[in-house]
Amino acid sequence: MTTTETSRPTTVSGDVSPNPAPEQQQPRWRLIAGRVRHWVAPPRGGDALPPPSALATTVVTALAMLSLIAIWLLVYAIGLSAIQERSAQHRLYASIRQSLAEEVAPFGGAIEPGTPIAVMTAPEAGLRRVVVVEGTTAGVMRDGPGHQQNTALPGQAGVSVVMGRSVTFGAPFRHVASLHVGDPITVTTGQGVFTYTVTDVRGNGDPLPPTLAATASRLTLVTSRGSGWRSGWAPGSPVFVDATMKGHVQPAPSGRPTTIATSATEMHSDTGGLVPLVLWLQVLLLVAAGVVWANARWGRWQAWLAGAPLVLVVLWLISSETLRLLPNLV
Amino acid sequence: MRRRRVSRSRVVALVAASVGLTVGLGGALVGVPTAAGAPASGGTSSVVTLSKTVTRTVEASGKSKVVDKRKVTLHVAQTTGLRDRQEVDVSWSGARATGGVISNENSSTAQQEEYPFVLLECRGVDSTHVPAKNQLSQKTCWTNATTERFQEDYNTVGDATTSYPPWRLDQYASKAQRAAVVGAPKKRPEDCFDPAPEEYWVPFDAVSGTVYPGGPNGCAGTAPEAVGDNTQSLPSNETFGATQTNGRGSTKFDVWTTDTNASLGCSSLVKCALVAVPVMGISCDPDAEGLPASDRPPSDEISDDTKACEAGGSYKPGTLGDGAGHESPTVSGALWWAASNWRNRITVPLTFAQTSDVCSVTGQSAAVDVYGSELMTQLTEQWAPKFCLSKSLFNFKHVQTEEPEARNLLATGGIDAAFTSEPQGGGYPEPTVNAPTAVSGFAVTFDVDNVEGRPVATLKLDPRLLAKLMTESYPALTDIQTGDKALSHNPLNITEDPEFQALNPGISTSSQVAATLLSLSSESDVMYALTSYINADPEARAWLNGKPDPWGMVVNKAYRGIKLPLNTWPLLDTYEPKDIYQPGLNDCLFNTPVPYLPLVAAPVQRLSQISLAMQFAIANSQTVCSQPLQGVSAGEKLISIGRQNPGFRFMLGVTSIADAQRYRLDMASLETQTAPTASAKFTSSAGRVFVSPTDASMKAAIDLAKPDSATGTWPINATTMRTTPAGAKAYPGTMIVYTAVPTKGLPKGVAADYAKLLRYAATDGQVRGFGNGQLPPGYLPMTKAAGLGQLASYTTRAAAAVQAQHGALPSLVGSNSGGQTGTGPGTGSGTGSSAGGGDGTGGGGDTATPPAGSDKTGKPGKGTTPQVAGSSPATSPGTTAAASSSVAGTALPALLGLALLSGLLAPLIVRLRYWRRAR
Repeated sequence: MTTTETSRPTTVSGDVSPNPAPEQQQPRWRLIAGRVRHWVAPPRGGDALPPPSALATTVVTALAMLSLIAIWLLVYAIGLSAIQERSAQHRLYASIRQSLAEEVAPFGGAIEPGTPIAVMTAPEAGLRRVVVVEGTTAGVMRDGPGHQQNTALPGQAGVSVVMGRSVTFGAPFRHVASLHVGDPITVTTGQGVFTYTVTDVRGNGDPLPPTLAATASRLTLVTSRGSGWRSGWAPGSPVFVDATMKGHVQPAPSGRPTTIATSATEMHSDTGGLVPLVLWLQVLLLVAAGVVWANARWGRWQAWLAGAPLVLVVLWLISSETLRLLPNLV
Repeated sequence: MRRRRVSRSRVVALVAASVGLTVGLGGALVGVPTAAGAPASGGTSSVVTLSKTVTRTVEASGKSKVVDKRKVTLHVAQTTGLRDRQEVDVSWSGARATGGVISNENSSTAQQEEYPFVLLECRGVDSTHVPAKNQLSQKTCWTNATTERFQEDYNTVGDATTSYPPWRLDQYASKAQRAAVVGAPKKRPEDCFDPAPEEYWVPFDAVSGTVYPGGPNGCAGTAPEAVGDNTQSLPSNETFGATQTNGRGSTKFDVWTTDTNASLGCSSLVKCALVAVPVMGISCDPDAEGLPASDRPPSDEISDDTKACEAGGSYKPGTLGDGAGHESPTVSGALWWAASNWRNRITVPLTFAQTSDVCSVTGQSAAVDVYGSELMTQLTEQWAPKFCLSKSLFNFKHVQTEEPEARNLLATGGIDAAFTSEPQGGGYPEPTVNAPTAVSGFAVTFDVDNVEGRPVATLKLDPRLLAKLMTESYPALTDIQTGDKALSHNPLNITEDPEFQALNPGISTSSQVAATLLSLSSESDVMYALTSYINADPEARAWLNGKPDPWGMVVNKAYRGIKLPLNTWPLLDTYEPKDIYQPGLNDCLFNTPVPYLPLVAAPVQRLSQISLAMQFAIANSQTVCSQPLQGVSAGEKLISIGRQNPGFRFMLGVTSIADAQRYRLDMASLETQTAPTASAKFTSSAGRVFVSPTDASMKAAIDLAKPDSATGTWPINATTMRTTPAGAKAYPGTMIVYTAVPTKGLPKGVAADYAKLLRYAATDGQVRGFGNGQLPPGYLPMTKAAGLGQLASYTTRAAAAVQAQHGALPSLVGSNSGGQTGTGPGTGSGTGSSAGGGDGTGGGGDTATPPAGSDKTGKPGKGTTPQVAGSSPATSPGTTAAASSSVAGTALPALLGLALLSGLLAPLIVRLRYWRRAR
């Protein structure tokens, strides 16, 4: 797309007709296009401007591109990434449903990041059978809420930390901060179904919950929130929701990791996506070159037809990797 | 579908049959008419002790008079869950002392013993309440030689004493059995020559219904398994046990199933018994009232016949026999079948374990293979039938291969799982878990008779002696001793080595087999463990490096400085003693000379071959030249020395502990540590600790095993064992057998099966017993009660990882306290980071944060982390202070701003030019 855009100015200036045809004879879209074109680069007439300098063309094009990319990323972050998350959740739900039925859902030892480990339901927070995956890096959490690897699993004694996004990728934890004390949270793991009751919602500066007894289980949901104008799209501060379990805790098989990478802690981004990002950008370059070539050889529409899906796919993947660079709770 | 139903009904039938058999056994045990006592320790125990009063009587003027009466007690160590070729300890007391003892109690010559304690394996139930074809009788008892079931008497003129042989005067024999010719086939085969005037045939009834009459030299047909005495074949199992003068005796009885003897045909479905016949001599009835005149001794010879029949032994009790027929016939073992002796029998029903053959019958899906360690053989023989007969388990097959080969196959993807004791060097391509499955090890077993010809019960060996045997440093032959200058100062064999004599006095042999240790030619973890043990001993190491031992013996220069440990032992000696490579002396070696000492060593491919050789003392040294035609070199080959004669045995071999237990092989005690005060040139074992493989000593060795997160195993360091105080009691041959299974890339069904195997190995499979699915002797139960809970719990976790196939590797260090609660991760050993390798989330420059809650500075720092720690009690609740993120708070607004800004700026620039121009 980038290259297509840059090639445009020459086409635009070349295509501009010195004497536009009467408006009523033209189809409506061409009319609009003509007006836009006229506004951006007024027709050359007798008093028309000389062709814009190469520098100006480049700057204008670059700015336009920047704007387009920013808009695309915004749209992707707030809207399109949800589709990706929904699809991942669908797949994960099928996977954990089967492993729960076969009693092979992991509940101990070192679990591979990205493995579905639990299904969580909290009606008051709008969570309905949300699949929790193991690991809390931004990359893993594109698929859904993540369970912090060095904490106990839900249902086992100790604190179990589950982080979730509040804006991008479907924003599963969007409403978690609005949970109230006493609201139920139900978690299903390979060890059974556990019901937690919310005991507090705290942000920075709020008191920590009391020390947990050795045989109790607490679930801490972590997400981010913003206040005022930031609310809903620019959450700068983390928020914690503590919930304690009713009933007996389950045994915890040992072998859990005791350390986690910095990128897996709350509000950290995941630089692991940089390498794929670079690679996908290179693919995009290739695709763009291909489209330009096709434009010259096949014609404009043929090039678009063949190139647009490819460009979209690559762009999608690039955006997905780019969003890994955002903190994991956003 | 139809097929499956058939197979299921087969399974049901088999299970029903086995249940029936067990119940039937219980009934038979209670109902044995000949057994005076009951099993000593209840029906569930495999040990059986039976007592019976046995008598010899004489018939005088119509009245039976007891002339000899004894209460015999028989003790059999295992009667259930028996397997083919298994040795069972049998002992007895109260029997009459044996005279004219023959050293090889399994040979047919041994029937010449007087008052032997005869042990036989017989098919059938010893009861008249079962159908005739299922009844046990002399005809269903196995003997190898026809002479053991046939008697003839030529009624020689001029030797009146033999005209009416004792068996014809047997008062307990029926009328028919006292005829001149008994049991002969109706139509005499042509090979059988003319009949003797008096004959007694005891045909053998095979399980198939075929009757093998036997007869003189087996002329009327013998069972194919009856090969007679042959040093190249395995010995038979009928035993003419020698009772000592105190009335006691003991032996090992070799139990056969249909695998070894199809004619006898004992199996889990065909009942058999161990029959002990304490030979008391014929109870004579020379008057033979009520018999036809032709069956009554004529009056002129009746006194001689009576004298011969009522005679005692011609040898003094406890003396050795010459095997030349000088025994007193009436008390000899040859008449074990005579009614007088047979009525005194003690019958001990035996039940056999279902073998893994049953798995091929069940017709279940194809077996899931596990390749590898022979240390597992005895275990998997008991597990496999359980697995294929249990609906919740699966058909599982252990393919015995060398461990390194199995590991290579696993690494190349040829197989899906391997039993192994060492990690794969360089690792596996897929994440692979090493789940502890059994704790066993290797044993140095021995067949050694002392200078008096009696078996030695204990043997002490140190690493240097093993090194001497393995490095071909004993010359074995005097020709080599004199010819090979390098070995000329070395003792001929181990029994002439002062070091061996100091530890094991009273043993001497000239056999060349005493110069070697029968061991493996293939790559094996056992060899690795054995050579690690040798290498860790400073004395042995120094000797291998070329330092003579205190008595002056030096290492064979071909092995000097050899690097240990090794997977496979090389044969390096090159000396050829030309003096004996001569026609007539050894044609094979004259025609094709090869170095001699490697032939003496003659290592074999499999541990099971060593076990078999050790069970029957078959010397494997390949130094005998066998020519199909005497003096013709075509087709000649070197063969093994063959079976050693009892009384003159000396053999040492490396076997698995479990094999040694199954086949009742004697295991040597190995030196573990040396006190600093112990003299180097020792004359006794003082100051040196020797440990034999027992539960306690193996447990002590496992206690020294430390988890190694790099390899995911628990290596037992040989040097640690030699240097730490706890190592003194630890058996050096202890080895852990792991099941190596990938946790990634296996098909779901296969992964689930292996997970089942591991779970079984961690739980039900660790229950001791002879039954299918249980843990046979020779394996240390891997249970919490035995102190091996750590291994078992790891295997459980490994099972989960295998089942999940997410590529996860459980951490080796598991707290048994149930997860990480209470302890806090700060106390963890920190090996966790090596687990879960290959995750894609850890970015390049990430640094690992310390475990949550271990922050000693008191700074809450990581937000929820103090809570995450699972409430480290030291941390009092503070306030939440988590990292805020300015990026999170500004990223999207910044994007929006950027979009707007550049989106507006671009046309603005254009407009700017336009306006400027317009002005």
